[in-house]
Amino acid sequence: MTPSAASHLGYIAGAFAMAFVLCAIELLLLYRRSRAASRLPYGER
Amino acid sequence: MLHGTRTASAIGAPARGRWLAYASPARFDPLARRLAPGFGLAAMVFLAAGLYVGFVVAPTDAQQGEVYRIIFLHVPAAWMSMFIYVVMAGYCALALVLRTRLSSMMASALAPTGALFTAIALWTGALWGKPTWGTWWVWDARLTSELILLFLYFGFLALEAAIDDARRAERACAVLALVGVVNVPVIYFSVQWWNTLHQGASVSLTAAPTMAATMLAGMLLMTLACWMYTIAVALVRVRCILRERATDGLPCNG
Repeated sequence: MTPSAASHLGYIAGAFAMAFVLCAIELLLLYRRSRAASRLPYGER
Repeated sequence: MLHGTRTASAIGAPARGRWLAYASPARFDPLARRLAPGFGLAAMVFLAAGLYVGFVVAPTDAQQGEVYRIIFLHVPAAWMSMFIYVVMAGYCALALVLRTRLSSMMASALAPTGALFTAIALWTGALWGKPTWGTWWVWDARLTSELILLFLYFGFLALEAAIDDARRAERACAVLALVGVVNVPVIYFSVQWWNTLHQGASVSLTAAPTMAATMLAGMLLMTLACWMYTIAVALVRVRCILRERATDGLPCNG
């Protein structure tokens, strides 16, 4: 693997890794919000 | 017919053709509960297919080498950032004109995910720009207008959190979203209107794509994955918003 190819893989890995981390953070926050909301009373009025 | 009527009224489902009844938060909640897992599963399936096509099937680019594969994340994220904002503005317009509570709740549910995709588009764009342009960032029209879009999303979220009264917050955020939607065509047409470093559109509705079929297929699969993910997350989030606003004592029907 040439040095340029190796560095390119670093850019690709960095791009996808950050995207997955951000999505994981969003899903974690949403899960916590969903759990808190499920304890709230809600019904048809 | 009598049995059908009794069944429909017994389970609270609208009669055939009365799909507008789902504009009621009380009727939309069970629908969202049923649909969200399916969209989540679809997102994972499309993501797996898109990554496979993007990293296994699609060939190496003759000019950029392997680094072009960031396109399979950057372009779908950028498309979704604009699309979500337009949908959000549409819901805000409905909320202002028709005064439907669910519309403003949907806009609130979409905003965080729209900000997420905008951030991903900017981040992946920087990581693509460094090896190809030699710089992480330039203040050209496309990048600057996309950054403004991120600020609009942040502004929407901050404004909503800053105003205690939910109805006032909905109206203020709706005005912000509708004023900001003018930025979306600026982003899209910026590469045509100005002499930008960012490349022009490789995919458009009016011309044949200027990229290999496998690359296009991978990009479209990843776009579908992002779209299904957005819908799943928005449905879960709007159900949370419904419960939170019901607890605040605000009427959530109609």
